[in-house]
Amino acid sequence: MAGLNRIWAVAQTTFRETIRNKILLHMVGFAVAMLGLAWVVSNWSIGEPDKIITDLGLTITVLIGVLIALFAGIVLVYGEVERGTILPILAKPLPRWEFVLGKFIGFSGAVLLVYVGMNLILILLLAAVGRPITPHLWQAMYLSIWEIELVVALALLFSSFSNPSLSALYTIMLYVAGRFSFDIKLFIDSNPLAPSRPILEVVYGVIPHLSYFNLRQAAVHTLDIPWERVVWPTVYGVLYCGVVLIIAALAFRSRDLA
Amino acid sequence: MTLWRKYTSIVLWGGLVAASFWVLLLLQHRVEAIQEERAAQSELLYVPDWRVLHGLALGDDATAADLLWIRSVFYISAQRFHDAYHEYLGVPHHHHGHHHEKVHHHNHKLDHKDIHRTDSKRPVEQIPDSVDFLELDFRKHPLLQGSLYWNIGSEDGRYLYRMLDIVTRLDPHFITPYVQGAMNLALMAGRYEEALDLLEKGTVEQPDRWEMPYYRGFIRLFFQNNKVGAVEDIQDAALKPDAPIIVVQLAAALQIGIGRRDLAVRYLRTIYEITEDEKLKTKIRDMLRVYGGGPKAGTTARKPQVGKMLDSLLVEQ
Repeated sequence: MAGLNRIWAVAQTTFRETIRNKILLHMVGFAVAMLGLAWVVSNWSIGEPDKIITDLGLTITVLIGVLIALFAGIVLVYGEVERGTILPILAKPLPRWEFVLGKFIGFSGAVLLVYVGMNLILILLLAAVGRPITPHLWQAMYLSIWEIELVVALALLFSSFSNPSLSALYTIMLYVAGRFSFDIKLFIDSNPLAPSRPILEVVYGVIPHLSYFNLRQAAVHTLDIPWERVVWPTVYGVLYCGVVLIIAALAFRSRDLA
Repeated sequence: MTLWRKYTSIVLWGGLVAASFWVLLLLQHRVEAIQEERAAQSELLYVPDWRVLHGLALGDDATAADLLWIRSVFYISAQRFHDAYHEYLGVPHHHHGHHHEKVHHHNHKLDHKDIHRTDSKRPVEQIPDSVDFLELDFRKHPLLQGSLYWNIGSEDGRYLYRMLDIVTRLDPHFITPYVQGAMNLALMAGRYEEALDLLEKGTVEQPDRWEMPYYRGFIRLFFQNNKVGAVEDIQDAALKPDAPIIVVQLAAALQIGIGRRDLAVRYLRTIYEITEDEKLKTKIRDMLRVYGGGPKAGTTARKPQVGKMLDSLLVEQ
């Protein structure tokens, strides 16, 4: 119970710090501007403007969420170490893994808040243009949360043992690879004799399969989305975040902060 | 003294920045003037392969398709505006697919060489005359005449087709590029086969949509004089789940038009059997009475009120 309280205390502090972060404010402003632009661009189409605004809107909200997770996430632990504020925190009876978990929960909450806010604006925009708000849309928005959460976890992992530049590079690399996971699988399946196949299989096994969380096209065209398509990616997302956080905690535990 | 220096420095630096911006604007105009000559083609020509765009989209292919579609719309609109502008001014203008002629008009200035070089409008004789059996002289219809007058040239149409092909590969469920794209390919560039290919691709991707076969029929009928093919397509469109009533009516009317009243009646009865739409059933009952399948065949007392166009389509052979 005491452990939970400690984690909660770290989470609350991290949440407040993140909300006050200027990057977040700028990104929110940028997101609102981009959603406005999406509305303008959708009106340039000869037909199906509501389809275009939904497409662009869903992509923009996810990308902004990912950018916030990336730029604010890579300094999450590094910033504390650099400023020296980590030392009085860890001087208290707070295991390092609790600190990492608290950071993740607090930061995730802040990013989630922003993401939900952006999606509410998008929903209002869609309602204004007469687009029906179908369950498909909620499903797509929900799964995108896990895409952002995975980026949060990865940024936190790299932030726990590396500097911001390298953390950003590693996170972006994994993010791009994760977005390509479906194509990597296609390549492996269609080229059984390729010399690069064993390497690609390892890569495919390790990278986050972010394509699992992309239901945006299905949502826009209101295609059938079976429940397994939402449930299993959620389970995958929870497990992947868990594994990344364990590695982050291990990396941070072995780090010399003196 | 210090204050004077400070203000002088602000004025000097401000002047330098303003002058630099002025030079930048001049350069911008210069570069754009060079670009203009090849812009229309190159903007389409340099669109990467769809696989590259798929990679760049990082999984959000539909969004990439939207943006590329908007770019295609700009291209189509620019050409239409360009022609409409000249029509508005009363300046005759022909493209003939020669790109260099269009370049003169990008800044919407009048080019007197063009005024003397081209004649007023596309001669009426050049407009495909394929709907005589319907007694519809669509050559007199201002909208269709205007559509035929919009002409981007066959070569530019090739680039437009490529762009539309990429858009529909990236998002096969996006209906507008199939329909609007094909109609513009046919109307503006005269590239009927590519327009039909695009619609065929749409039918394969979206077999339940009525729009693709309907517009295929439209192109075959109005541009290729392929009445039988058009009837097949429009009949196919009418069988799709959400086909509007007018498509069913048009399909039947076209069958009458090609002298196959028997087919029309059989077809209408089939639709009557399979549809659950009560409104459509009522319409079909009315139509069957007129076409000879109903109890009061041939009478005009219960002639369906389906608008002037259909009335004109129902003229006996």
